[in-house]
Amino acid sequence: MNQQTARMREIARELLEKKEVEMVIGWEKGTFFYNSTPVFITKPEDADKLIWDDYCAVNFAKLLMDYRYLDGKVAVFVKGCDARGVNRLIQDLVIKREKIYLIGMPCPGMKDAKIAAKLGQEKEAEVPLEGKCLYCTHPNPVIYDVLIGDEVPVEIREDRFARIKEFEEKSSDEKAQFWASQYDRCIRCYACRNVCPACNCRSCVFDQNQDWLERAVDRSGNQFYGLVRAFHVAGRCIECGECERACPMGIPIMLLKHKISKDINELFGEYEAGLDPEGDLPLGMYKADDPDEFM
Amino acid sequence: MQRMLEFVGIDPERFQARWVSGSESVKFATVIEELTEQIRPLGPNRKLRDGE
Amino acid sequence: MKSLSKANLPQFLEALNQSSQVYVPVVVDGTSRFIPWEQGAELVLDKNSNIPPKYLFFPQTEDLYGYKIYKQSGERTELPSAMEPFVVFGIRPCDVYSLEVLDDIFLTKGYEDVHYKQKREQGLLISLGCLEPEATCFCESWGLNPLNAPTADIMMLDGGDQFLLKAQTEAGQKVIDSQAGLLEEFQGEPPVGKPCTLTVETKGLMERLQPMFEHAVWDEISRKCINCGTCTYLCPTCYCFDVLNKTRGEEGIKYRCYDSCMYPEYTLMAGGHNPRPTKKERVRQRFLHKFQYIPERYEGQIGCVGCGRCIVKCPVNLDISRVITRLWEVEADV
Repeated sequence: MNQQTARMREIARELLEKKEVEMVIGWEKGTFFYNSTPVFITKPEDADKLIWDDYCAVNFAKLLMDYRYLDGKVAVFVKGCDARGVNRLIQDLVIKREKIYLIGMPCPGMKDAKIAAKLGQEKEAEVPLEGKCLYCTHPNPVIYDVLIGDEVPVEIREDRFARIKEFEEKSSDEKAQFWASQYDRCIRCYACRNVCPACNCRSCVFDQNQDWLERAVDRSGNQFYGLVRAFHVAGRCIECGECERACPMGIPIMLLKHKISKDINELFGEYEAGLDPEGDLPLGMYKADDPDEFM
Repeated sequence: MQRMLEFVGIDPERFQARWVSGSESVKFATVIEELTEQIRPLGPNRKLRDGE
Repeated sequence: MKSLSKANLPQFLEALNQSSQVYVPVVVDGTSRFIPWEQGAELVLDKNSNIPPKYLFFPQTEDLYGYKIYKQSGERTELPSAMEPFVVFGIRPCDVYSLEVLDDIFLTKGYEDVHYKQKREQGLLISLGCLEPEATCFCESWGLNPLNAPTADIMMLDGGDQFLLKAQTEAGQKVIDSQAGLLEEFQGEPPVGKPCTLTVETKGLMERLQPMFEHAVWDEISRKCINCGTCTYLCPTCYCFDVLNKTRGEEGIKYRCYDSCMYPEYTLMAGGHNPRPTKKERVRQRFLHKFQYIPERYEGQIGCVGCGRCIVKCPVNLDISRVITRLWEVEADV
């Protein structure tokens, strides 16, 4: 058991014993070595279920939404991406800062569970990092009440806009072909929407009884769904990559999200969402010097 | 929006954003005529449609 | 038992393809599913497909009929539905059994689903047995045999450099007779398979669950579910669907498409009432449907075939086998 795990259990136990929080959300071991799954602890003795390992990729920000009306506080462990997710919820006025207690976990990057499943336990050392961890810019949580361990050095392993620039070089037809074949696989399970911390609308546009989009699963409907969702989170996407990780069909959703981030950087100035719960949103604020190419 | 549609493979000339006020009727008509003439030679759009 | 050398497999499939469309498991953009066979297709035969072949019998989107509307009156038009015979090659025993479960659901209890029935009658199943079940497979816990699908038309086993085929129905025998040129008589011992490593106790599960509807365990189990619906879409026995319209001016099509009990709108009624308002009710519904309601309604039929796809793809690892174990662990009347 590593140092962080011991400290996690200690803090959780203390918080619950002193009744400072009503529930602690963290990770416990799942079925196989590459599964670390959410656990909701309400009793101090259960704190020993908590673990910290290379597979704790699940982002809890969305799960917090279920507990915003509890009387007491909720403690939650947050990695770099999770902390931005929590900021997203605070900024969107979904949860209140006073109702949560954040335990920060500086994150060295999580391994890819799907590849680990294929390689098996013997080849565990060869498992690469999750796709979403390769372009992480904030492995240290930007908001926390207590931090476990030391901050990790920020190592930008891959420029998240490099893929975008490469893709933009393709011809119009090639691009259309690529996206058509990707979204042909979409089964409209809405996993991407359900895991996304930025998708926190009480009433989602896609649940309105076919008012805006038919439920039929065809190429045009799927592409419409993917593009509209990318636009609805534009400027608020914290680039945690959970959508791509949760997608059962392996659709490269982050390509769309990073493209929008890149465009926002170019049009509205450098901006990264979820770093500051008080900040202004580039698409939510009108400034006199906003770009107006269409005038 | 324009850049995004370009990113998914729609020819950039097909989607254009202009700012016209409701009372600028002449400008409105001119803009529409202009756009129609630009798009007509491009032919029908085949992208983002249901697969054949 | 007949043997087909693996080198002759493309010829075999080509010959079958002359009279019926053959569907084979192939990787398409990273996910394996059953698609129409073509020369040179690379078959995925070492593990089960990501997407179950149930959609060949019960498609994700299916047109039911068309209609025209003239002011206050309407007219219904039947859509042409030509169902050609087809062959599913390489379907696993768990998925074959899932079709039997869907048969009970779509063809019994007084209403026969015409669309499903047509496809079922036209589909010929050549099943491939699993010599080495995956770590997430637990079909044996439900009484299924990974090496044999009793209702498949032809049962196949991988014998190293050959496939061993055995006809189990008349239709299967016809196929084997028609391809006699490519097949040889097999004299040796059939290969021995390994058992499932994942096992759960399922005997008596239905009875145990009957008094547990209001049990506190459902709160615990449902907490981490994000209601994304991935499990229901990949499950070979899930069949919930919605019936909707697609209207274009004066004409339209009534179609059905997959729906999921994981979504809040699934049970949303006109007027706004929803009997399953939170995810606890929905998660509970999913498991009770599979373990209690299907056995109760269809005389002991199983609702889960142990294919393990939900375990592989659930983004938060809500593992059905661990749920079953938990349901046994807790005290029944809390």
